[in-house]
Parts: sequence; structure tokens; C-alpha cells
Amino acid sequence: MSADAKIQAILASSGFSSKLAKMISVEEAGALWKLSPTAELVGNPLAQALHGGAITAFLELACSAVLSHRLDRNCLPQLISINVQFLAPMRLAPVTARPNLRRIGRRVAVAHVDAWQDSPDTIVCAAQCEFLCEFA
Amino acid sequence: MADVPGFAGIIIPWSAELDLVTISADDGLCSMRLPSRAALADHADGIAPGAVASLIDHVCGAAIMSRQMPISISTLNLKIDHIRPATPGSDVTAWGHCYRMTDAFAFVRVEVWDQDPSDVFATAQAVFSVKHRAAA
Repeated sequence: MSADAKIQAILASSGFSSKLAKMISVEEAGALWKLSPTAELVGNPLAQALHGGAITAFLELACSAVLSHRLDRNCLPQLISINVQFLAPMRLAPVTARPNLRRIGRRVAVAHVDAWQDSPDTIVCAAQCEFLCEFA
Repeated sequence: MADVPGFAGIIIPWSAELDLVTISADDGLCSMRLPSRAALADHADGIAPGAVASLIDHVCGAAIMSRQMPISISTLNLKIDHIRPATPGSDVTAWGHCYRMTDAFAFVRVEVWDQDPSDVFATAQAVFSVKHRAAA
């Protein structure tokens, strides 16, 4: 199975991740995550801006699935903390994220992710996540 | 405030998709419930962290609106700690408190629990950028 297919299998392991996975395509063995949002992800209908919670969910899912894949597990790790920063309003348009595993310890793994809409030079949101490495 | 996931009659699509229910919202304090269902679950049947993040982001917005209705709100940052896994199959409730609002920013704390309000499973802290109507 290719890395991208393995990651799709991890996303299919739970109800919520498979719900979001319908809008997600994964490329370059998990290095690039593309969210093609449908109108249901809107958080501000007047501005047609994406919901901060939905974006947080996407960023966290990218980090956790990449970590699962790296550790060769088939379900998602337990999230301890996530800290999200929104740098610019996000339109109802594709979002690309690049998750980066910064450290994998025995108990805790730390990931960081940057995301953009128009150009990789203009980051629109970023998050740092800590996960428990012991999988249920 | 009505018990639909919107503000001033405007429906927020992502919050409606999650079936968020407003229990109360007044004077900077807001309480909301996210009903449990398979499409929002993680692999252990608890509520997925991404769904919790969406609930938290929305309850923050509602808490701000209930204190003073600004023209617009956008999330600047959001930090969520998951203290323990959510109880499988349980609805979750979030309490948000907008404890400070300035001309430009609103500061909010949130606690999330499932079965016992004194046994929270997640906490959050967020800062929002707000725009107020110009004084007449």
C-alpha cells in the first residue's frame, strides 16, 4: 500500500476523521494536505469565511494522521494540547497544510503545521500540537 | 438568544452541521451542547478533538456576542488542553466565559465536560479580534 493510501486508511478509522476526509486529499506521502472545503465549513456566512473550529480540526487531523503513519499505527493518537494561530481570514477556498513532526519521544510527540490558501509564502494559519504516543 | 446555532438570525453552517444546541447565553456567559453521534466520534467512540474544537470556537463566539454584540468577530488564537479522553458515547457541554472585552479584542475561557460538570475533560483559552459599531 502506498503511503497516501495508508494515510487514507488511518483517516477512515473514525467517524469524524472520515467525515473531514471527504474534503481532504493527501499528497507526497503525507507531506502536503489539501482541504477543499464545501459550504458546510463556513463559520461566518456574511464574509463567507471558514469556521475557526473546522480549520483547527483539519490542522490537528493532518498532524495526528502523519504521526500515526510515522509510528506505523492504524488509528489516531490522543491529542493532549493544540495551540492554533489565525494569521488572516480564510475564504471558502482550498487550504493547503504542511505538517511537520518536530519531535517523537517515548511518551509525547510534538508536531507543527503551517497552512496557506494562495501562496506557500503567505501562511494564513498555524498550529502546534502535542500528542500522547501510547495508542489505545 | 434562539436555540439555533447562529447569531442574530444568521445560521452558521458548520455549527448547524454539528447540531450544536445553545442552552443559555447571557452577559458574557454561554453554555452549549454537542450531541454525540458516530460521525463526530474518534476510534474509541469518544467525541473527536476536532469536533470539540469546533464546539469551543463556537461557544467563544456566542459568549462574546452575549456580552456585547460586535459587528464582526474573528479568532486570533485558540489553545485547547485535553485533560482526559471524552467518555464514549456521551454528549458534551461547553461553558464559555468572555471575561474581558476591549475596543479591539475579546478574551474567553472555556471548560468542556461530558457527564459531570465538576469533571471537565478539556479546557481552552482564546483571543478574538472584534470590531464594534462606531459610536453615534
